[in-house]
Amino acid sequence: MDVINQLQRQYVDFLSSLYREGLLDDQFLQIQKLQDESNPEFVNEVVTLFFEDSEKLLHNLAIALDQQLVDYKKVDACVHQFKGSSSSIGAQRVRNICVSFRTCYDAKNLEGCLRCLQQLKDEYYLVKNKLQTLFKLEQQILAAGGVIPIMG
Amino acid sequence: MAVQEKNVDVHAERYDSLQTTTVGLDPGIAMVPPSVVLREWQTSRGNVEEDLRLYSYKLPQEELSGVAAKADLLAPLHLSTINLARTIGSYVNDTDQLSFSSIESEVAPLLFQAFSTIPYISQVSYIGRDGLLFSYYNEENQQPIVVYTNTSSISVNEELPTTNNNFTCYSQPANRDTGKLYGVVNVHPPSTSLNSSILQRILENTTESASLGTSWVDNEDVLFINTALVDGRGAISLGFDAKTVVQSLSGSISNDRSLFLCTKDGQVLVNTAKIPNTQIVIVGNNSVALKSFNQNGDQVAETLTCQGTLRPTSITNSETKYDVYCSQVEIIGVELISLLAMPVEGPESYLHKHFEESYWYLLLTICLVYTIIMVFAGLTLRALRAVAWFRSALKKQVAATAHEERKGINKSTNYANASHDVRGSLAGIIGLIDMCLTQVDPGSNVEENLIVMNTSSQYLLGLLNSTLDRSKLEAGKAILDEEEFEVSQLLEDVADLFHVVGMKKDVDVLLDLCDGSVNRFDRVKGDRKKLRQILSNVVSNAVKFTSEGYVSIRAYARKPSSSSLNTGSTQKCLLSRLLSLLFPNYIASYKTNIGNIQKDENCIEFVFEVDDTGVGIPKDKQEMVFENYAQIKDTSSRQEGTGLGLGIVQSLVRLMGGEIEIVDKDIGKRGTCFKFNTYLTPCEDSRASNAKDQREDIESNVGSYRSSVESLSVQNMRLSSPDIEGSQVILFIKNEERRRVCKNFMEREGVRVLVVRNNEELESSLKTMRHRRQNSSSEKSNGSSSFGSVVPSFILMVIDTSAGFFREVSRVVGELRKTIPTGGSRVVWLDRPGYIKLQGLPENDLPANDVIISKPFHGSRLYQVLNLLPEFGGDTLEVNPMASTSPRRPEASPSSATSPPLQKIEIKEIDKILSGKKVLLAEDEPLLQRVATAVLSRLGATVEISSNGLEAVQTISQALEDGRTSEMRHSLPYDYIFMDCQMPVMDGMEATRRIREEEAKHGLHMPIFAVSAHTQGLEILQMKQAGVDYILPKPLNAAKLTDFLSSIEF
Repeated sequence: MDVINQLQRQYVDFLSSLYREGLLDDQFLQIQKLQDESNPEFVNEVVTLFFEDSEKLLHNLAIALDQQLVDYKKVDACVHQFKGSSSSIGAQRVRNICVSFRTCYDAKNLEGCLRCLQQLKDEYYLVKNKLQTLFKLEQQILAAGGVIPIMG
Repeated sequence: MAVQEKNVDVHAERYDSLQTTTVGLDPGIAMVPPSVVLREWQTSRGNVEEDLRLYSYKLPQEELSGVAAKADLLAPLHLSTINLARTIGSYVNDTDQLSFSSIESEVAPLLFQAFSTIPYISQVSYIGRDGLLFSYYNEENQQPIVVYTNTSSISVNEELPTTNNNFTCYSQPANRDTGKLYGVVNVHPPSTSLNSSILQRILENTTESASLGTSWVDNEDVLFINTALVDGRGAISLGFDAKTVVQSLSGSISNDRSLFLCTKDGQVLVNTAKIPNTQIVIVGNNSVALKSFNQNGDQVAETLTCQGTLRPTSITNSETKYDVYCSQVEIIGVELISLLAMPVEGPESYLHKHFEESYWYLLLTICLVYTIIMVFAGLTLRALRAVAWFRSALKKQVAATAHEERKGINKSTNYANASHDVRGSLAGIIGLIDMCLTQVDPGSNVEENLIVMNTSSQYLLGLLNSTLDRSKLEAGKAILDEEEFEVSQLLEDVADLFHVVGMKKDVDVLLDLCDGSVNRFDRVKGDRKKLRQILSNVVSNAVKFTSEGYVSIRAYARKPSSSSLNTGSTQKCLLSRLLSLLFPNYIASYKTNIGNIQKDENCIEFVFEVDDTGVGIPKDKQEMVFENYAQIKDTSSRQEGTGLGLGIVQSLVRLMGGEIEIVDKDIGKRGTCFKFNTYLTPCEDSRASNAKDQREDIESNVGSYRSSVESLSVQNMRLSSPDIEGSQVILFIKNEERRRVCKNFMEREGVRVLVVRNNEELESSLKTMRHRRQNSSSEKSNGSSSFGSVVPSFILMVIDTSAGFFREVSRVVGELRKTIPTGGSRVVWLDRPGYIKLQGLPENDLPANDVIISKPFHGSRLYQVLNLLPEFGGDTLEVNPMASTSPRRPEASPSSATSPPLQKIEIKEIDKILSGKKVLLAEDEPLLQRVATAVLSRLGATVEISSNGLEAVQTISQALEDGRTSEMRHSLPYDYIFMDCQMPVMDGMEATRRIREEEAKHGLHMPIFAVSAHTQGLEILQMKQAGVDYILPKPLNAAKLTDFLSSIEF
């Protein structure tokens, strides 16, 4: 019981730190709420989808920006999609970078775009890392027979 | 000159010193022209003086030589004597002595001729050797007279000429023209000037001689006498009038000179010398001496001797200096010494004196001018220094300001960062509270506290945001963030929030909706956050400054009359006029706001009053209250706070088009009453939504909830049907104001209210009630209902647990309960959290259908209680499902003791608002598909998915085709379509357009929700043009979607 409590506390602390640092926002809470008996693996599923999507998009973006003649429409499509997916799971900081990315490619500022891409990558890997840690914690709690606390 | 040079030097010195002191404007330069002019002037002055001196030096010489020249002119007169003598000598033939008669006949005419022709002559005489005298003499009246002796007075003895003692002279007038004697002969007495010895002396002269002498007749008359011998027979003597001669000589001598003439033997001829205290003494040998005397007549000094040269000699007499010039002059043969004395103080010295004077005047003027210039320059310098100082001060100030601005910017940046962190932490707290809420036992006090904590945290979050807005507000950049909300809900939230605060100080915070007009226009569009901020601020102030009593929040709505709008705009008064000077932008925005609001005729004016019983604000300080950073010190020394609050409040109120003021309270009442109004637009579906939007928790727990409108209709219905007996509400509330508010509310709703103030009243009123009831029930059994309307069929007691001795009250209530049949009464306990427990009331003993309200009794809770009444749809005990559960309760744990049987306000769960609906989702990305599906399913919808626009269109048209064949002709194939905008193959816009075309064929219209990451811009516009009904901002989540769906009312 103590182990579970401790794990739960750790989980809550970790999660609230994610909120505090602005890595995640309310949307993630909403996603978590959607997880129920009918959808027991919902969060995990969605987040995994997000990871797959993101890696694909980052790859595409890197290629698009590496071209001699950058196709900004392509960049736009990628970033837009990235923005949609990141905001859907509540990866706030990733989403924010997408917004600033947009101003860069609107201005056809290649340098800025590359910088944004780098930031995007950084933020994405950061949030990915954190989320994976979170899932590990979740699994530990579940393995110990506890219930995952829900915030909000 | 020396003086001038010195001046120039001085000027130069000053100039130098000035140059060292002043760099820019140099007043010393101004002194250069005057000094040059002065030098020039001085030079020419010197020249003039020199000329004059030379001139005046020559002048006496010239004058003296003039005298000599004139004397030369007179020299021929001397010759005329000799000539006359020779003429007579030759004319008179007689060689011997001439007799008197021959003299008279022969010599006399010649004498007369000479007498009348020779100028200056005044006496002509012929003296015979024998002493006969015949002479003409010119008297003063130009009458010639003849003086003669006709007897020989001198014997002609060769050896010893003896003088005859009987020398007689006669004088007789002569004819003016002929010289003939006529008239009376007078005996002329012998005088000192005319006697025989004199004649003798003349005759003894061997040659002609010249001397100064007196006339024969008049001793006073000085003459130049020239004598000449007439070849042994006698002598001729001519006398020239000395006075006339000297006058003509000295005529050219100017007045201030003095001429002195004397003979060598010391006879003074002329002495016009005006040298006082000086005597001129003839020393002889062609020299004179000047002797000075003092005033007593003693000789002081023999100052000088004049040798008869023309050298000037200076003598000083008393104060005056004289120059004396000597020269010799011969006048008609007489050698004379002339002496010209003139004061040294001549015209040149006079001129010099005046020049000096004017020079000093000039110098003085220049000095004066210089001084003025210096003073002026000094002043200018000082002014310049002041200007320079001010300039540097300004520069410093500007730098300081810039620094401050930078600091301010940094500060606000840091502030923004910090508030971001604070927000993060707050989010954490809120999250934790939410978590706790899920874990805590529902209905427990902890839960209530958590709810309040949650509300407070949310409020804090809001406050944080609004503080960030403050700077915007101050810059006049704040904009109204309009959204739809319920005013009553807002008011209740605020009241509840501060009720908790006030409770600690035993200050009751209550909400008074007055005539309920707020409920009528409950759902409005406006800036909820700002309104809440205003209210919170004012209420929190009121609570802060109230130590006992209550704080009442009153609100009512009214149609804005033009006058009220006008007063709103004219009330801008002095302060806002001042503000308009300081912050034109702010006022401009304010005015445009007013303008906007006035344009909108649909808007409703909401008036809020916050009335407290606190310390109050002195009348003279009421103006000051709304100034930023102002606090009324003497009354609030204990209170903390920045004093920023009311200033912001005022700005906010004005931003929302209203005006805030302090309303005068009735005399004798304590406290302050803030009143402000605002203009909000009621939503079109205000009434319809009212019913639905009131909290579902009330509906689920208390029964069907009615809005005020509905309850009014119920009331009307009830009043119109006499056979429904009225209910009676007994209000036993401690706080007078709250009592009044509740009573008003109840009465407005048409409920009879009995207000009791203390235990005794409660007891007595309950007793009468009991009796009546017994009577009526007995009468009822008799079939008559004479008291029908009097006796309430239902008694609702609202009892404040803190109002009286609780045990006493519960005893009285218990007694009543026994007499009234079950279902005939209900008790609502107004509790503070945990208060019942403190009072030691055995909660378990309370009947199951008793209601405990531990939140402030106002707002929605009033309706909630009202709904307990049968007329308003309240359950009687028989049909109350809770009643059956109550007996099973006793063994429940204390924490849950209050919850299950007692009706509680609970937080709502997300409702399955879409239950039973069929939804088509067009979304290409698997992630978003997954999320959206989960959200929609959570809300109860059945979801079908199309992964692009084309697929969606095909699905729809297929469904429409199927629908046509099936009997469900009139129902929509999908209740809602959620459309992503950007999709491959066919995007949301195109798909929407196609779907609209398809629908049109079947005469249907399916609501399409566009899901977009954009909230504005081109895409939104295009989507709307394509026929989308609503735009949902990404990301989708259950809460947002629920809010959205309930807001669009379907």
